[in-house]
Amino acid sequence: MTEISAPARPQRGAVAYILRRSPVAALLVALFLIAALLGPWLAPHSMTDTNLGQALQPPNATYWLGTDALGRDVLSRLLGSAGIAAQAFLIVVLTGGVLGTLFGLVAGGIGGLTDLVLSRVIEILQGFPTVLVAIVIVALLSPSLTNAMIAVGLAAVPDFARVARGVAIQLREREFIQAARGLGMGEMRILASEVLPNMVGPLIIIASFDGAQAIMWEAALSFLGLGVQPPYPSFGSMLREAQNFLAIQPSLAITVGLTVSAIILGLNLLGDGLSDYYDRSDK
Amino acid sequence: MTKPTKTGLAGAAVMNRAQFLKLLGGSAFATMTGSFGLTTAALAEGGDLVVGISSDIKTLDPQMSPLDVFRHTIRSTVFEALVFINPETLSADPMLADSWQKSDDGLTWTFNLKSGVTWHNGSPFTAADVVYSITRVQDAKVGSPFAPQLTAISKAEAKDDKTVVLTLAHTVPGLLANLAVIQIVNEASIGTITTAPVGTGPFKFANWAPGDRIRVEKYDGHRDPPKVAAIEWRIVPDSQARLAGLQDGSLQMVALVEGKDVIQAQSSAGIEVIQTKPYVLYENFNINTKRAPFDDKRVRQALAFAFDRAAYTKSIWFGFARPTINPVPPEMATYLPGSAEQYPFDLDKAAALLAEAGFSKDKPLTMEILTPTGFDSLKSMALVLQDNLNRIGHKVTVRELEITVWIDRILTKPDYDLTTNNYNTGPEDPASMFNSPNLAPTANVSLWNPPGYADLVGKAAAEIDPKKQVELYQELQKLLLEEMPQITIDHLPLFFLGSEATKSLVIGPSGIDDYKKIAL
Repeated sequence: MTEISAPARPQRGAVAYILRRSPVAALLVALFLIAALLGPWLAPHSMTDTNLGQALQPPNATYWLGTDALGRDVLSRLLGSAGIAAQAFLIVVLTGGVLGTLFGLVAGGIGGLTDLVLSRVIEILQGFPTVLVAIVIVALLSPSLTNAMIAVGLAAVPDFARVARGVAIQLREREFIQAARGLGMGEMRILASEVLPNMVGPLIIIASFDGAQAIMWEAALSFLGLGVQPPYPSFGSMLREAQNFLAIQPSLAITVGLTVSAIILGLNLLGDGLSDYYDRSDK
Repeated sequence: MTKPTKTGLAGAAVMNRAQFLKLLGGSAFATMTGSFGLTTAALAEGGDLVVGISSDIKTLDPQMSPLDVFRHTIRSTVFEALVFINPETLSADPMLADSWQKSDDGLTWTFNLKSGVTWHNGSPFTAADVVYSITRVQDAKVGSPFAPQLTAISKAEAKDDKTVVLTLAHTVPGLLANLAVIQIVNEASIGTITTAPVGTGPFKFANWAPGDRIRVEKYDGHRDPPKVAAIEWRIVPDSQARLAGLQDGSLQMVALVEGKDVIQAQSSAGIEVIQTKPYVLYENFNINTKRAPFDDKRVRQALAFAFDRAAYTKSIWFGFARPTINPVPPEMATYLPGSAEQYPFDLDKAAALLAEAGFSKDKPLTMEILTPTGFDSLKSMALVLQDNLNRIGHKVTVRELEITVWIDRILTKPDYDLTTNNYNTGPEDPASMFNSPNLAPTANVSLWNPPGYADLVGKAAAEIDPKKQVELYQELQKLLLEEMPQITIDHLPLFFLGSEATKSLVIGPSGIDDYKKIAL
């Protein structure tokens, strides 16, 4: 075929496809987004105010999901944690996504020695143990969500880089790229305006999986006291506190655990759905 | 109000592990429980007592660490002092000293040592060891935190192998209580005290894997040998994991637990709560009084008003702790009547005092509260104070630190604003509290030593007339409550969890326990 055309740019139809194919994913992700964006306004109580007189209340009319050991409203804290989780998601996807895509795009698009060097750098990054790097960064700086998540973001760089590089290599010899070259466009401009838009689909899929991972890492690091600092809630620190009362008030740990699982499940299903969608539209 | 539901819930939820496994049934689980049973039985037969503790010790030198975990481990087993404070009578029982006499003027004390006592390396224990140990603690170069206990002793000498004579600069009613926390060490092996300590205690040191476990083994040469072959302390920072260990038999005892653990244990069959008198320990905030703005007593008083002690003891300690602002418990004769209730929870008053000191919503007080990991109640304490102060517009952060880092920040450097802490009240001797690392005029965590304080502490400790001594101690408490270098929160007992067999543990009021009677 001699027809010169860029592959279909994928956005259109993706949302409709997800809604149709995996409504559960759509629902869970939508709930997560609502909680993350509107949490502070939706929360029935303060998420940080302690009230020792109301400690460890079971779920009731005032406190729908009960209260924790310091009398703080569990529902409000869960909503706050969703906001933190969303921040973790964003920081990781932005750090990993921007750096990874840049690395992959340049490596795959230019090839040769550049590819060789960048690929090795990516492999080195891939070898880093995420948790250890996160702990070291937090120890050097100080415990905070941003510090912990930048470490996790660095660990996500290889995922994005590999996908971006793969797509870039695939596209490099395609007709529309050669046409662009023939028109006298510079390599960097071709990468930015022709190659990059065509890897958005696969990158979004990676983002949904790595973002879900980020939420898990955030919970894990906060569980260890290395992430969000008190009094602000996070799934991890809530779980850590709930663990102390497993036998007295099991609902504490169960609600947090179920919430995190639901968010991760939603994001993973979303990733699967998107993956199906792009596979189909590629063919 | 909330209590009945809570215990009700706990009753339903805490079936013990055996019941849980039974419930699950199935042959796989039967084999599993079978093997579980086997390992527990094997442990018990070997006679190893496995104890869970929350955090690690920092050194093996008994004269160098005031840490609670250390008192209840190495100091209680490998080493001995001249006397042992009986937790029931709060008076001194013989330990390395068989008997003692004091001269009529109270300035010369003669201790007759037990004969036939040997060090774990086989060499005989003599009066020279006692003299060496006392002078070592007193030596400023050694820097022992126990030095304030011995300020009254001007001379220690060995009259013969079995007699020690202590000469005092002034009289001290609590000399025996002071000596009860001074472990006697062996001069010949002092070089290896941090790696292979040698003591006279019923157990000899076996090994210490930092962060993991500490092991001591029965010393057959002891005059009253213990019944268990060894004690192994496992460092399990997570309280839920310690409780689970107790339930599945991998731990036979858990040391120093909190109210939430006691509540959970009470509803499990077969777990016994072992506890001391209810005023052996107090929890508090230490304030760095050398650092602005905490050098201003109005700021310190404001912090004292900003904490609801009654609600804290009720919900975090499930009522096992008793709220107070005065570290001296009402049970002691020296207690200042009515003082426990001073500084009632009053956020308006706290805000007003802070405003006087120049802090308001527009110019908030910024501070950091440190709290050591592994102490959940202390962390809750920090979070409650943080929230109360943030609510009136201030900027408080809470930082949880590993215990060794925490010690470095509060004692070694010191570099902190506020820290949570707890300490023994020392009910056996009123002088003990004011000579503890929290309050000793020579050196204390709060770096607090106002003019006249050292004199008053010295005078009170030396006063022989009980009535006058009470007056002096009440004056000290007034000073303490006015100046507020530390905010006391509550009095509480020490809690251990164990089984019927481990109930014979004797928990000493100063943290020196007797494990000899435990038979598995």
